[in-house]
Amino acid sequence: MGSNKQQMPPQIWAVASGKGGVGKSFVAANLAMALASHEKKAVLVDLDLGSANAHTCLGINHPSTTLSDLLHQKININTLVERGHHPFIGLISGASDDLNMANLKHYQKLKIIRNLSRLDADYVILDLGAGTGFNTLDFFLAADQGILVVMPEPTSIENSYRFIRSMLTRQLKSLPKAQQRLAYHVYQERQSLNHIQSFASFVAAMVEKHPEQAKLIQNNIKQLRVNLIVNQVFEPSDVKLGDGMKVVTKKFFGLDMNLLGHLYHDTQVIQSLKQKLAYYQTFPQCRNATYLHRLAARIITKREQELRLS
Amino acid sequence: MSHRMAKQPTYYEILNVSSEASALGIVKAYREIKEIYQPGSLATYSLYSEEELAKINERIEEAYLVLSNPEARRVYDEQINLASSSQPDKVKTRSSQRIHVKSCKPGVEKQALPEYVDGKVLRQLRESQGITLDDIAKKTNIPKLYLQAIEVDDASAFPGHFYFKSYLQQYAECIGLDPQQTWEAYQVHVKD
Repeated sequence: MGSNKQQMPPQIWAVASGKGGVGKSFVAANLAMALASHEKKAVLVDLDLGSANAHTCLGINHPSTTLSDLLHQKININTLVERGHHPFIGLISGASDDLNMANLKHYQKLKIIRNLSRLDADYVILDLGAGTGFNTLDFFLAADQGILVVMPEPTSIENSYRFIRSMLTRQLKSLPKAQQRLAYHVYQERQSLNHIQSFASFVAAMVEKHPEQAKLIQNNIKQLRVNLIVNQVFEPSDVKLGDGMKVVTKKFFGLDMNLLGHLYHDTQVIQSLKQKLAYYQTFPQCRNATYLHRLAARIITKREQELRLS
Repeated sequence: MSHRMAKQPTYYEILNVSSEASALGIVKAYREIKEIYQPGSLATYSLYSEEELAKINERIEEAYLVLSNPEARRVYDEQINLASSSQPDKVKTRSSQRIHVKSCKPGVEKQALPEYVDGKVLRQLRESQGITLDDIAKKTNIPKLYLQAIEVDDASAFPGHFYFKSYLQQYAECIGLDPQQTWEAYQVHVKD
């Protein structure tokens, strides 16, 4: 089973959240662990560049090599991978001390993205910085699949929608220059028309005014693969939040999101962090661990389906 | 405001339900959408002002009032069908652009619908006319991935029921089949 898989480039999943503290690094790290437990090689890449701490979630000590080595020297990215407790798990750390890493130049981002697909792994999980910084948005858009982590709390939801909006406007940048200018023009025009406007209505305005360009934008949006995980669910009614957000995102932004699943609030998460242990490994019988296991299974089937079709 | 309303969604779109939904399906959809857009709902937090939410809820009620009444629904169905064929209505332009694609190559003739329809049959019918998947993809703007999914009966590949149906119908049209009939026949064998 495994032999021909090695030539295939890994599938890159980017994990982001609109707001910090919703458990993004936790989800990214434990998803990588869960994938490893399905016997898939997973490498967690900490791209939360200013404040990297994925190693803590994995229960690995601060790694000696970091991504910034990749930018400053000519080395194979595979040599940067720190091995974890599980043979199938690896970690590449972002540099928490290098000041320049938090503000990457465009060509540096491209270099990182290019190198990621050379990793010897089945899955590469990117732990991105919270918020709507350009680093985060660009890596999110460049990945094969994106995961947006949200928790049932107004601030988190507000910032998630802000993230989606920023991501959609950022991806207008991938249009050819002339089209881009047109799109921005219409966008600003719409924005001045009414203070709050849905991205869907902007696209509708584009369809009306510049149908050709609108087709490009619609195609780009269709190509985005955004998945949603509702984390830190307290009450059963919170589970429904994911379905609601999916409907609203479709109507307001014209974006089809895939609801990947939800995870429960669990105080043992903090405990495992304090003990410098990986949650998934420490409490494998936990409800969340079984949910993570299932999420990983969904990710795997999703990819297998895609591969079968292409 | 009136300018913004240029593109009016249908009642079905408002309730987020297929136009073929059963009466029960309408009730279910109504309850779900009401919950999402109720004041204080988390799912819509920060996206709409109070007035906008009130307006949306008004439209949801209006949609439900019509669609939950079989007679009113029938009349409404006729109305929107009329609107889309007689005048280029804004609601329909996007979908009709796609759905009214005639065949891919000039000279593709109307084909009789085979008795048994599945992905394999469709592929044979397509190949017998010398149409490639790329032809269809180019014409309809549907990613090839989904066209292939149609031919291997993989309904789970689609992001939603709507796309599945829409893509299949466009595909059918491209190889000279009647979109609606093809969809109905295909559905019998392939569950989504």
